[in-house]
Amino acid sequence: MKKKDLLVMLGIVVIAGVLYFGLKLINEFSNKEEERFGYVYYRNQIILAFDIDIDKVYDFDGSYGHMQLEVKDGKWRIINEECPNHICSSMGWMGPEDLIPIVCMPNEVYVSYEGEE
Amino acid sequence: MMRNQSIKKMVYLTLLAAMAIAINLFESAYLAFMPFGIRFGLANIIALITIELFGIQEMLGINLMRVMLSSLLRGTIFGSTFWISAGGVLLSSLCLIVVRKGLKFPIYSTSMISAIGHSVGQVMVVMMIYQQIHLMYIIPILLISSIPTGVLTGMIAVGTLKRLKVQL
Repeated sequence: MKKKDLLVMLGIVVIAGVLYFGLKLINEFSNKEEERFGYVYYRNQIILAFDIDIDKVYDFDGSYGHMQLEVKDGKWRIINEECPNHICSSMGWMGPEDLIPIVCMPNEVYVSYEGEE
Repeated sequence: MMRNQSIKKMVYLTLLAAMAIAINLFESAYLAFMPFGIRFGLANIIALITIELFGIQEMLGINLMRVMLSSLLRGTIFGSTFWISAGGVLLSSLCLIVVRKGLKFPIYSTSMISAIGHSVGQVMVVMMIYQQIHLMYIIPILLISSIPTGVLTGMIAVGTLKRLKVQL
């Protein structure tokens, strides 16, 4: 282990830190939109756009059966879905800071938040 | 005499490639328990040894052969996993060449930087295939994790090269 190795290590740590905080800042900045929309996709097409700041229950149909999307306090979840495993509703409440979409394979539906109109 | 030398080199390269493939398969089967997809990148050891023993061309050959053959053995050739590992290997080989042969960094740094190249290359390919820009958030974690894994692979490579009596 030479001095140059330690310098490279330090460099990596610094770059990682800068990247981490930079991405965090960008994320926070982009979340400060006035209108915040989430989308429900069915077979890659948007079938429903919802304002995450309006509390409401939406109804729609997937390939397997009927489902509902509940939006409350800037968060959303899938309820009363007809599917074999109920993975989508077991994901629970999702918010804008969660980066993963809610996916329901049997219904060919996913719910994703994109931050802007 | 010439012929003997070239046969010796060919046998060496074949053995290195076989070891790289075996290590790769072993690692993906038994050492894939860590979070965020962090891996040791043990096959990188072979790349380091090859570039020291022979040179750039041979290292590229072995790396590409490793990706081709190990995905062929797994039965996922030309699937998305193949392209992901090809992206990783290409970027890591590029890093290896630039850092070791171009900038002449010591071997531990080379190992760490090529580990970074591997993970960043993979993440970039995944981002392209699945159109998921948010995957960028994993890059800082992978950068930090490539320090211990890079040092580990560097240590093993240095130990091996010492036993092979190569001047570093």
